[in-house]
Amino acid sequence: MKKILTYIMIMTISLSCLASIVSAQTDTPTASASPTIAVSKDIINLKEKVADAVKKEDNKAVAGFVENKNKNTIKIMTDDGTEYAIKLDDTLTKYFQIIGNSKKEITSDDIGSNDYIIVSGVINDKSVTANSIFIDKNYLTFAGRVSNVDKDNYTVTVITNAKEEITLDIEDSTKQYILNIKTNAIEISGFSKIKEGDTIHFVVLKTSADKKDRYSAVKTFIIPQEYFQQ
Amino acid sequence: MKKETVIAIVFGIFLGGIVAFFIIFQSKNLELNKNKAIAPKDTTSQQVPAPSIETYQSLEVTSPDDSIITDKDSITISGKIQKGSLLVIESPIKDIAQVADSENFSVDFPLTLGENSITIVAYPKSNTLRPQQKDLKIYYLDSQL
Repeated sequence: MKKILTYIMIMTISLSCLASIVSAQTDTPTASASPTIAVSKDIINLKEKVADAVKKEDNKAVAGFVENKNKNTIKIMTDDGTEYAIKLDDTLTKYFQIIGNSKKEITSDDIGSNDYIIVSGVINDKSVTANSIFIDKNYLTFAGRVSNVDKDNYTVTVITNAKEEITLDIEDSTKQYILNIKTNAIEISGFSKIKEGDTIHFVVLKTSADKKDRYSAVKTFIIPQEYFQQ
Repeated sequence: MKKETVIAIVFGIFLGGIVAFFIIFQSKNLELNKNKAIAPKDTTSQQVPAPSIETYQSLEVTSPDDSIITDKDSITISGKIQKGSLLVIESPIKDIAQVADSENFSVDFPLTLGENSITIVAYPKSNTLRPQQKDLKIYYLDSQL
């Protein structure tokens, strides 16, 4: 009987100890078990995302100024400073020039250095196999606040929302608009209505890859500061 | 092995199992209490409104994607905006300004052949909040897809 009791005691104590150890380690096995499931789900999600991205990339274009060109490749630089190598194919790649709202077919010889081109085709990281190349104009849109108005030289200095300082030459050809703060309608405006502190949206034409801080304004749209004080 | 020994082992396992179950159950409760977030039990405290910064709807453009090619001469720009903000959409050929009457917006916007640089800005009613801006480049390439 003594022997039996001893066995029972030993088994109970050893199982209890085992339980304590297992309980102390409970979190670890759980943690190691769930990543296996999570990882496989992640892999599936990743696969779907890659497939989606590839699908979407096919429907996207890149555009930039021509930096250099040879028979089979054109190097371009985009507005954000990214370089792309455009691969040309003698038989597949088509070339067009956009003039206003129409386009005419051209040849690869018509593409020159500093031309702004849009490329559609298969994008693979920083290279594009071109299906079509379009020569176009590079209009840029900005928004910011008027920091200075020079009435003698018809210039406006703007601090953009991206904290860049840009000087705008307001030309006779510049289309000028203003927000009517009572009706919220957009009305034709003039240089005299621009004040320091106003919010301004503007469009400029960029003609080379070089970063500039002075442009001729193609279009301006003023939101008077009084709009925000109502 | 003697019969008594086998009985002793089985009984030992059974008792050990009970003790093990008790220890595991207790340690889990202990762990839960340790990790539980400190929050007052009083439910009325949950009715305190969240700071306005958390409820502010920042500008989101859900459609279209940037750099997308389309063969249509207009596109629907849609997204989310703080209600009451002034939404301005600007491109070289068109400007739109409208006060957002809900948190969702959807605007038909014309495109010109080639690249369309579009700036979308949300101006909050409050002077203390900064405007939010999103830039898009949309390529209308006339059935070149």
